Amino acid sequence: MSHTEQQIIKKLQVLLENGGTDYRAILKLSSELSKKDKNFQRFFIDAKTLIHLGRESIKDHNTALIELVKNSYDADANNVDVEIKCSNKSDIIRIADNGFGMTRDQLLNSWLRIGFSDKRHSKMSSLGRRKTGEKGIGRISADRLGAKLELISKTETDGIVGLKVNWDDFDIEGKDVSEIDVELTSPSDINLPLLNNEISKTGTEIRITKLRQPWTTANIENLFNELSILQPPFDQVSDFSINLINDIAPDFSRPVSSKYFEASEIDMTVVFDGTDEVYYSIKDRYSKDEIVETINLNQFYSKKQLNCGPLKVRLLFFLRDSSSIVGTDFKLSDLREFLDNNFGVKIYRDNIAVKPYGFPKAQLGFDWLKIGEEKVRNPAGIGRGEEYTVSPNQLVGAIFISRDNNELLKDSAAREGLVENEGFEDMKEFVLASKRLLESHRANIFPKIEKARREKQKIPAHREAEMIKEQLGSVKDELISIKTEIETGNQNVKPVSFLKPISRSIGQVESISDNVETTITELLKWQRVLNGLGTIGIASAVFGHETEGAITQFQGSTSTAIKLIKVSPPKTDKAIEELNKALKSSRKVAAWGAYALTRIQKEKRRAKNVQIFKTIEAVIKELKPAFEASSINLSLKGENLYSKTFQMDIETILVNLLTNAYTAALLKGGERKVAVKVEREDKNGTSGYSFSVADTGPGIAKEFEQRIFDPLFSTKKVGSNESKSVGTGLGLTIVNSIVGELEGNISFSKDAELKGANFKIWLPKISEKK
Amino acid sequence: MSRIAIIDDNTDQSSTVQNNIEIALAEIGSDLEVITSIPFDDPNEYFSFIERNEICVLILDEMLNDQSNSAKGPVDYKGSDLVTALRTKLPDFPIFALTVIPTDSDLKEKYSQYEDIISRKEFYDDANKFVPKFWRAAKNYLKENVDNFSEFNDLTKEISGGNKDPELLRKLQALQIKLELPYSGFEDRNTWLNEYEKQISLLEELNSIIKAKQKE
Repeated sequence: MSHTEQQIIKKLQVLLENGGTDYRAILKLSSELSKKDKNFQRFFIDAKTLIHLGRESIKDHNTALIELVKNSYDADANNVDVEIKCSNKSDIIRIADNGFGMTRDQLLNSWLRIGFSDKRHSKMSSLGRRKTGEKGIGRISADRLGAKLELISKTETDGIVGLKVNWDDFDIEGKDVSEIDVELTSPSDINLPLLNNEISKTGTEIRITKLRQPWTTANIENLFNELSILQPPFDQVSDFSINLINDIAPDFSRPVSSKYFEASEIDMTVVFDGTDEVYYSIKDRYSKDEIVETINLNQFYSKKQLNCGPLKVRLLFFLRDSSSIVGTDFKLSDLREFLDNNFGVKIYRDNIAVKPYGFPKAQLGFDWLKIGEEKVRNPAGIGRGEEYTVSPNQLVGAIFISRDNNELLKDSAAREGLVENEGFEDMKEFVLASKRLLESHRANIFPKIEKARREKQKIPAHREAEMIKEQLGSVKDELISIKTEIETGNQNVKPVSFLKPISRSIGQVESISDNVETTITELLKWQRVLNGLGTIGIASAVFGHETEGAITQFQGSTSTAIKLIKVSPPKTDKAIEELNKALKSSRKVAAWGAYALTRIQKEKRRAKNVQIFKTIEAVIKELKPAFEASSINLSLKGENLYSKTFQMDIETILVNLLTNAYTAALLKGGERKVAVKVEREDKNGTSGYSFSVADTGPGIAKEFEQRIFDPLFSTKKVGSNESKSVGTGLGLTIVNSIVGELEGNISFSKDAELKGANFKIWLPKISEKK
Repeated sequence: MSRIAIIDDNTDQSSTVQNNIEIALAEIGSDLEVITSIPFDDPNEYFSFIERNEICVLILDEMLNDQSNSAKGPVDYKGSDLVTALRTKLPDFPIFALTVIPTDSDLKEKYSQYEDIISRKEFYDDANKFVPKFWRAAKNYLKENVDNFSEFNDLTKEISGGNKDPELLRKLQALQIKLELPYSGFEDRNTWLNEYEKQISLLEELNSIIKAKQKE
């Protein structure tokens, strides 16, 4: 229903004269009246536009919240509380700061004015902070967080003022934005964070309720990380701290911090003064002194001139392994998580990060310097010196720029980020040159790192010993004090009061001996496997000729058979002969393969009741073909007996002795024999057994007798050329170490019958406990 | 008929090689024969073996000392030992090594004494690559020897006919050395007969001493 101009004026007059001011009606009539203007008309804005504007300028509720925190930063706050409670019927987000607050005038004329930002005409806050937002629409993003907003602000001049907005009121078609009421309040109280340990006299508190969406643990974690970015992480500036309180992810209910920078391997700062000088300093974990240099731009970087303006680049290089956390309070998993969340080189304009550069989770920004691509192209490790490049996930960096000094580096209107102009490219090149400086430094100190690492590796064992000593010491002290108390015969002492300390001591001793046992068992298990593997290696080298020969014969006979069939006329008889030879050879190869595989079977690595003779018999059966191929008669004599031992140890000893005997026998022509004998034998009253291996070889020369158990000593020298050794010199060393571990004994002599060497192993016989 | 001889303790192995060489030789139209032999206990036996069988190329296995082919057991030398023994009297004779492990250091040390060291596997893969080499070595060796033998024949005829020209004698000696023939070292038949009689009288003397001893 439309009124005439006169009707509207009349109504207005009535309203104004009535005394009771109905502001809402006056505004509506005035705006209706202005539509009657025949010469000029004005835009008017649909209330819903406000909601659209807020929702569309902000990506998600995380960003919306950060916008509000940025406002606190701009208000020169030192502390900001960010509270999110949305479980257990709670439903509130609270952001409170101890900044300068808003006067009533500012609240009405600035805060309520969409698109207004005093950040545009005063770029610096009174603390000298470069203000972060510019568009003046951060406040409407609060709609993203919850339907209701209450703002309370306190200033020295106006005291506490407040207002309430219900964003849902704006979500109506066809209403003008000026028609929606924003309720002014006069709260009596405001909850502000501390300023210099006192309750702040000024500040702003925003309470958002009727939350739009629930917060998940991942949201909170993300928020925490993004908030940590708001704090200038590199300059150790402590003038802005954020305390996150939430009931969703308790791990992130704490002051937002990023002290992980202490764990960096290399901490490098490169400063470009904007004209022609570059200053850099490099600190690393291994060098005592910091390297400080000032050089010319063209020494640092092939360009003579950079158009981006002065830059400060700080690069922190991290290793993602345990050596990085030595001497810090971090857990390795935390450091890795931190790196996963924060790696990348960020741009800080006036100490606030410019998105998306260097944000690990931003698709376009995470490797904007293409460090990863470079690494993929050239994956050289650190050992390769000059060619080495860092991986993107090892680098946390910052480029510090300012709005005033780096005019070319300006925000893109079209999207998140900066305009990619010449200045931007120059900045990029400078950062990459800095990265190269870091890489060459790391390559330079690498030998030192390796040394430090080797020394570090010794620490755990040493620490473990220390720890055990400490624990045993405390047990001892406790026991002594109990003893004294009992001895002094104090009447009040009841036996029952000893129970607790004694059982504690027993528990501690048990845990220590468990630890020690585990460690030793692990080591022995390892040694057993290594001995076994070493023996296979030695045996393979010695018997390898035989296997190799069989494989070659197999291939040769097969191909020859084909040739014999192809010739005309075909020589079928000969072809069949060749195929039979091939078959014979293939069996030899298979036998050797089975031998190697059965050597280190897992079950052989456990101590159990072993039939000694049967074990030896099995090994001999497996090796016999190799011996026979070299015309060596391998024989076994003896009696069966049981002992609790490691089957693998017995086999390892035997294979080594047989390998030696094989080599020795081969040194002579004529009749070749290797004889193995197993016997019950008691020694110094200890029940035991022995097995010996004798050969027809040349025996052990007197001058070598003292040295044959030395590692790397070998008598397997051939012919006249004495400098050449065919043995590895490890076989008898392995035998000796096993025999020692089993508390046995090894001896050797000239064999009376075969005239060669005779090695005899004696081992105690251990009966299985029933 | 000239022959290539394969010396190997493993008869399975040597017969496979023999088959391969025979097929390849037939392809290139050679009339050489191929024989095999197990190693001899005494390396000196090779010289008469070569002469008796008209061997013109020797192919030696390296691990000659593995298999036992007689009651005496395996021999106590390897191919690389044998080649050195053979070279004392046969400096120019074609000798090849055929082995499973051509990288063996003993063998490599003797490289200069062989025409070539051939990997058994490579040989089986492509015998046609190696057999022409044997054939060429055989032809060169035979040509050289045929020429020398006919000259040797002429000279011996001259000298036995009574020609005492010292120049002829010197030539004969040179050829004897070259052809690796035992050189008698006597100037003429008279000296030889004298020496022969001296040896016989020594034997007779020895005989009478033994007889005397038996009577005692």
